[in-house]
Amino acid sequence: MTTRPPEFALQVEGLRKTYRIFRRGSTFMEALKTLWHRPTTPVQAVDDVSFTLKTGEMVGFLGPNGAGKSTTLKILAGILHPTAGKVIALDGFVPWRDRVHYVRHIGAVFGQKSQLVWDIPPLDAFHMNRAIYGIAKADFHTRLDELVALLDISKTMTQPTRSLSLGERMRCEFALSLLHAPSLLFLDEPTIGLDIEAKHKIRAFIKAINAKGVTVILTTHDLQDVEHLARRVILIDQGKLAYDGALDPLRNLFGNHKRITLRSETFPEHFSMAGIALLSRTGAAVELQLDLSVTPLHDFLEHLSRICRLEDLTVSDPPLEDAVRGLYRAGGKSGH
Amino acid sequence: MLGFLRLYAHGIRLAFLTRLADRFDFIASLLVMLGIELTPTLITVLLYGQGLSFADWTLAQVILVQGVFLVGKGITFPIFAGMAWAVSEKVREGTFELLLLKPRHPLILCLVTAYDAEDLGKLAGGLVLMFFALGQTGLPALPDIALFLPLFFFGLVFFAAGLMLLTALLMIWVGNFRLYEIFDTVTALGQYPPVIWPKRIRQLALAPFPILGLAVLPASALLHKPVSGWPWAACSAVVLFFACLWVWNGTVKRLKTAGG
Repeated sequence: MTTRPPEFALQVEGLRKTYRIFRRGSTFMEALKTLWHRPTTPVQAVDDVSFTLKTGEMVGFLGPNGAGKSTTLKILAGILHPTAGKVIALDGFVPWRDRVHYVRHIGAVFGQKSQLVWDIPPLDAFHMNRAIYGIAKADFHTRLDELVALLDISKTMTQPTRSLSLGERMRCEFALSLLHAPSLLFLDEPTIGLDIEAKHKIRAFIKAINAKGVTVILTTHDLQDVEHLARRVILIDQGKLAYDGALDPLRNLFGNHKRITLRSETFPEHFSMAGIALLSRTGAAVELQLDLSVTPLHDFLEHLSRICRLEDLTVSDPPLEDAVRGLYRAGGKSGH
Repeated sequence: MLGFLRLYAHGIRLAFLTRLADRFDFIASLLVMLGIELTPTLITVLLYGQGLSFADWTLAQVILVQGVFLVGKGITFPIFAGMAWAVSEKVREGTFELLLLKPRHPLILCLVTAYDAEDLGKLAGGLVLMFFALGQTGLPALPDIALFLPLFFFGLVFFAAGLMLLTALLMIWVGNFRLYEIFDTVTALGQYPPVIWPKRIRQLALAPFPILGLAVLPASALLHKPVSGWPWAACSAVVLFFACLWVWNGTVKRLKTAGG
């Protein structure tokens, strides 16, 4: 008989976290004063955040730097106590209270913090994790074989970590975090700094483990990660929930704009066109924002080819930060 | 307990594998560490060579105290001083929280992942000094050895307590290595015969700060010298150990409730 997984992997209600940071000026006198008085300022890192996450779901957890994403994730992973609020994870765990039992069921991969040991091969770190989690030898080898095949790390896992490329190292980080078969996985910028090929491999792997029923929370600044992987996004800005809903409405919300980066020595000094905003210009490098609802892309490109000689041109979505700030200025929206 | 020991054995294995990745650096560090730790013994030999001495203590007896002190350091430092450095580095890098993602008590994880094999140079040096000194003073009787073992153990407990407190303080005052220097300077007084202490301070060096328990009391047992006041030193070591453990836990809790 198998136990049915709970309906929700996470239920978060009214989560808040306030902490105090030390502040001082840059002059010598100000530094001297802090020897006997250290002024601190409260920071509301997480402000009344509520959401639920169904078992087996994959959600993109987005927000600009300092928005409160990492603090929220740390609370959900049980390594930070909240100031207020309620979290029920998996089979009724309160993450920070039941940390030792709870973390047996979760995994975490940090793009910028390695859990491997720099001077020795990842395989040694895998064995260390086996000892820490108390994984039975047979289970360990079954899972390791499976992960080695999925991540293609049979050769890399026996080389010293310091000799691995970033992509190889990240694949080993994934293996390390999944050896104990977690049912909830926290990913914090897992593709940061990776080339296209390595990103593709990591994304395919994340998809594969999610298809096996692992619930995934993906924190990233790379919108393409989210587009490839998640159907739902949660946006956090200034500690508050700015958006919680499907990815498509979010894309439509900001789909009317495109960012145009071009290079042209003959780009007109005083360029003006309906639906076009000049964002920056440094020599021949020009950055524009195009409102597609006013001027379609092909009309703009046609006009551009008439007025100047293009050396290079890139069309991209506006940066995530713009989208988040736009949402926050609008007072936050919920797709639920 | 068996599970912890098995885990700890993994930790030691990993520490050796890590250090052996750069063999020359490892061996050189071991030797440098040993050289530094033998300086007090060298000074003692020079003093006795000049006709000076610690009253009622022969050169071989002082070397035995210093050997016991070094063995104590060689056992506790790889475990607890390694932890102090590793934790300080992890807090500074912001990777300490990765330890909290593992299903064990943070102290166990810190101990397991921070064994410092370099400090084994102290153990080797201490054993050499001890056997050399015992060769001069004569082998101790069995009852003396029976008294030495618990006294030596309580010395280790005191070393461990101090290093655990040091780790906790390094978590708060990240990277303040002066704390280690203070700790090292104070405990270094434990490798000299008690005659260096004024009588009133000698009482304090038994309890509540049993610096004499680090080496003087256990070595005195081996030399069949009086070890009066040892129950006070033993109790103080145990009380300090649990007090420091409490501070350690409180500091980790503080980290978990602090910043984002």
